[in-house]
Amino acid sequence: MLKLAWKGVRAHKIRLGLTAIAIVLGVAFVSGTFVFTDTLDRAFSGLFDDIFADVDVYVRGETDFDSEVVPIPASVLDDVRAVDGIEFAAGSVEGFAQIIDKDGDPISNGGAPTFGLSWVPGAESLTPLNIREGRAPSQNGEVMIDLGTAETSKLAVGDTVRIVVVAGSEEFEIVGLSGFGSSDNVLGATIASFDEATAMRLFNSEGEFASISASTDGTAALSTVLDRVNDVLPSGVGAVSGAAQSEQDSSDLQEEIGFLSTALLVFAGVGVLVGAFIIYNTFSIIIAQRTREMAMLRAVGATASQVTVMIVIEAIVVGFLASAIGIAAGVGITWLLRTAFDAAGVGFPQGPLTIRPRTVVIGMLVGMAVTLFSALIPARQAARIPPVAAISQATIGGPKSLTKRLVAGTILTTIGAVILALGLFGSIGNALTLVGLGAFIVFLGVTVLAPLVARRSARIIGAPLPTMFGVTGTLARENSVRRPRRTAATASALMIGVAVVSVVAILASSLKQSVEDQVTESFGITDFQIEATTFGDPAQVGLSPAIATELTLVPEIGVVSRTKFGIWKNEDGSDRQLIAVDPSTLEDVFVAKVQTGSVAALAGGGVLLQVDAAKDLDVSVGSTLPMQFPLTGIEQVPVVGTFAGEGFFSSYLISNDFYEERYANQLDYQLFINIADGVENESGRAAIDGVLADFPNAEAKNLAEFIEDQKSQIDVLLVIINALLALAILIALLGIANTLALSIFERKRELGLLRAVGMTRRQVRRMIRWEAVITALFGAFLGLLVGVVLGWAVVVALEDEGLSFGFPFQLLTTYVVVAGLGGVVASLWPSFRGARTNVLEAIAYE
Amino acid sequence: MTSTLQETVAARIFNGTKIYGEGHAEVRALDDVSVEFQKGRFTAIMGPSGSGKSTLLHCIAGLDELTSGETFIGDVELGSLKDRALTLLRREKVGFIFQAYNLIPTLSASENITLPLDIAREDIDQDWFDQVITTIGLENRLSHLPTELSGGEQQRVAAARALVSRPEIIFADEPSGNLDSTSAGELLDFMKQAVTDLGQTIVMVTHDPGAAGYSDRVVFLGDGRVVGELLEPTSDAIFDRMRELGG
Repeated sequence: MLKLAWKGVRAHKIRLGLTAIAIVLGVAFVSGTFVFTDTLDRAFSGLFDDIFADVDVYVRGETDFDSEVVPIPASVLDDVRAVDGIEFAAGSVEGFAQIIDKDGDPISNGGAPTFGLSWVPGAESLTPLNIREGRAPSQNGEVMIDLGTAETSKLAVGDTVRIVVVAGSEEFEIVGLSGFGSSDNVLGATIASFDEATAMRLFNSEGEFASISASTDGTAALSTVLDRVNDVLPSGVGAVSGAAQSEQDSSDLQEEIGFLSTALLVFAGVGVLVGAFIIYNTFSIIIAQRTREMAMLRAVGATASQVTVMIVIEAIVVGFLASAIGIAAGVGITWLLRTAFDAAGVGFPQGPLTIRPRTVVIGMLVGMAVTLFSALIPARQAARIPPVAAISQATIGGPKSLTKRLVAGTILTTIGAVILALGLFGSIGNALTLVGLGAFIVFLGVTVLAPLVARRSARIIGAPLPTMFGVTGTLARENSVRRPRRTAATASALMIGVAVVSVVAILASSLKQSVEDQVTESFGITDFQIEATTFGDPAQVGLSPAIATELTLVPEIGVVSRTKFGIWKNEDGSDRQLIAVDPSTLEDVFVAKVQTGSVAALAGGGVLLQVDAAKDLDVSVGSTLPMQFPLTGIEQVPVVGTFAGEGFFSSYLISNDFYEERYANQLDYQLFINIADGVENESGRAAIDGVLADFPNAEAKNLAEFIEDQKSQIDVLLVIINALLALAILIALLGIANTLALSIFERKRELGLLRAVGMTRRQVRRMIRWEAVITALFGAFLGLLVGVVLGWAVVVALEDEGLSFGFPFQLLTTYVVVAGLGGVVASLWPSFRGARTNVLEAIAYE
Repeated sequence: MTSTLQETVAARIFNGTKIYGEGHAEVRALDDVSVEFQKGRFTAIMGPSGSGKSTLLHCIAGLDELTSGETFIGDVELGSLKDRALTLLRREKVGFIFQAYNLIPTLSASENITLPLDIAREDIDQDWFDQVITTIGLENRLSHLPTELSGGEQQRVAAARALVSRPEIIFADEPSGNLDSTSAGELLDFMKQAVTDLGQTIVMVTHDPGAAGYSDRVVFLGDGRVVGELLEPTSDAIFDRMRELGG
């Protein structure tokens, strides 16, 4: 059997090869994800190892908040230096420092951080930074920037650059260029180093350090020294070993990389699922085509289970080879990706790609398991071929009971829908897992049902063809429904891909609709909004507070209302977002729709809650809400009111004054501006732009622009997700190509006859092309149907979050057109082959 | 002389040689064959297996290429034609009836008959169509799919398809090979009628003296050469000649 199976694989190289590509692509995505994230992971832990390489003791403010740096009084440095066993200690100041390039644009490499640091002479051994060119900054007006940034932005020692910091923006002379360890740049981050006094001034840290690094003299054990240091530290400040801090920092990042990894694996999973359909279909077709061979085996004495085993072994061989190639391809893709990142200026850490045994094991398992499972049903079909099929023309299986199919399909779809609904509307277990599982079962159910409608649907889709292309069109249409089960299985693969992109499109469209509605409703009274163009975590990037201060002084401007962004922790430890507002001006720019209490009451220090959030937390005016802040810890914050306006997309509002005492980051998040009465919009805008000229990372938008901007952010997300889903669509199109090629092979004689009686090659190609298009469109319409229903359900489930259903008609139409064009592409090879059919061979009588 | 040739000869092959394979594996399927097929005649090509009769048919019909020599349909030399021109020539001037797999399973009998015209997107001559259908006796089966027709009916549909575009010449390759004797008789009768009553030209390859008996002329092939010819043959005469030739 093993020998037979091996011969089977070799005899059907091309057919199985196409199947294998489906597995290769899926496995490549899975293993590529692992290699990519593992490499990132290793790179980051390596990075932190570098940073803390010579740091024995690391002193920092203690906080539960990842995004916050709690400052340490400068006097602590002397206390640390005085500790017995400490050889040398230096304090570090850090903050936001956005370097502006020669064209006046902020330098930002794909959202990488923009660091500002203090440079302490003599502390070189405690930092991975080193001077590559020029000298260290020693006084106000001098800066040292990293070599990588200098090179990409064509800046050199002696140049003057503008740098935006919290307090505003200033010009500095570049006196030196720094390296990071042996590299010129770290992951695209820009690093600006200042002398200590300048740094403290720029970062609003007069008399404060962000951290203190120290080395030991080796006279005592590290743990002893750590104990001694901790003894002299004030409360809220703690010391750990450099190694421990490195571990901590890299594990924080690992969490985020883990999230990225999971997200990528979900997309890989969709691709693998689609691949499974194709493998199933290919094996079914190949077995149908080998009916005589199987029957002959049975006739000469092979048992039914031997036939099954033979097919299973074939599947294992194909799965093994394809998985191995897939893993190699995954590594290759990651390598390409890294090269692309390097080219884009995002310095991906060098060194070998990380290929962990887990990557290989999971890649092989996924590839082989999917192939095996997908081949099981066809393998059992093969076993049911009776020996008599060897001598008669009997086809196997025959039309199965349609009723059975209808019942099975309906039951599956219903079960899927119920699980989906539980995930969406219920509150048991992991909602996302339930939604995924439900969607998967719905896909299966629809796939089972699809053959029932395949014939009719394809006839409707192909209705214009006979008029357009005469008998060529008629043949294309009829060929596409000749094997409804095969057509349906092929189309189903595409259905999954199209359904998922449709759901994403509907979510995006609904989200955009809600953003527009809510922003219009809430900020309809605002003239302009200002936001940082710097991409990044709003808790860390933002607007210099100086902007608001300067704008207030402009006569054309009536109201400047500033907001800040922060994370607080609920009692259960979960992170929640809050917005700090200016109680005296908020209602000039924001329709709060206050239900109870008042916005003005925020001034006394308290929290204003969105009504639903208040209900969830079971608080009302007069009660208190326990909130944990980075600088002050847990506080019982009085609830001063509730509101219904949704425009901030945050359910918790506090006052700016209240915020300032509780957060280290003092950047403004957004500014809302109303121009003064009687001032033309145009001149108001000119006045704003005049102020913003000094702050290159800030941009003013009117309401329409603001909404457009929010929408375009959603579009960017849509594009990224679609790019990740493109693989699933690609695999599905591969499936169409494969099925078509196999069908063409079956119809060799028929094609030969058509060629003999005068069908040109071009007509043959056209016929096959339209068959592919019909199959693709059938899959696309099925996918659209499932996707729209699914998308609608998700939107309804999220209605509480303020989501309203938006139907992206244009986008979905585009998807259908793209699917049709995909069918054309998929038909290229099969139609080429079909048109080359040798007439003589085809009509030769056996 | 030339003008009469063009008027009376539907197809001809001149010094046709066809060689398959190379070196020791070389097979000379046709060895310097020259034959003409007159218009309005029903010619049978006979010969034992491997005599080259199918190869001859394929080469004259433009389905296969000669290694050397020339073939003509009407006055068109086929060797110089590219695939597209050959296809259009087959479509316009040639009809085919094969031994098996003659019909497209997804099309009805009537659609199969008009297939060459439909492919060419040409109008159907309804009178001619009706005449062909009446002759063939399939008026009531036109809407049936091939799977719903008997083997004999299927071959008659194939014959009607070959006729419907009024080609210059129809090539038939063992058309009755798969049929029982009654069905075969009906089909061959119809083919003869097509020649005598409808003025068509048919060249048929067969190894069955009974089938060849329906023809006006039999060309005998052996080892890739023309080895004899019979005019207005009877089955018995053909049978005797075949025996002489050792077939």
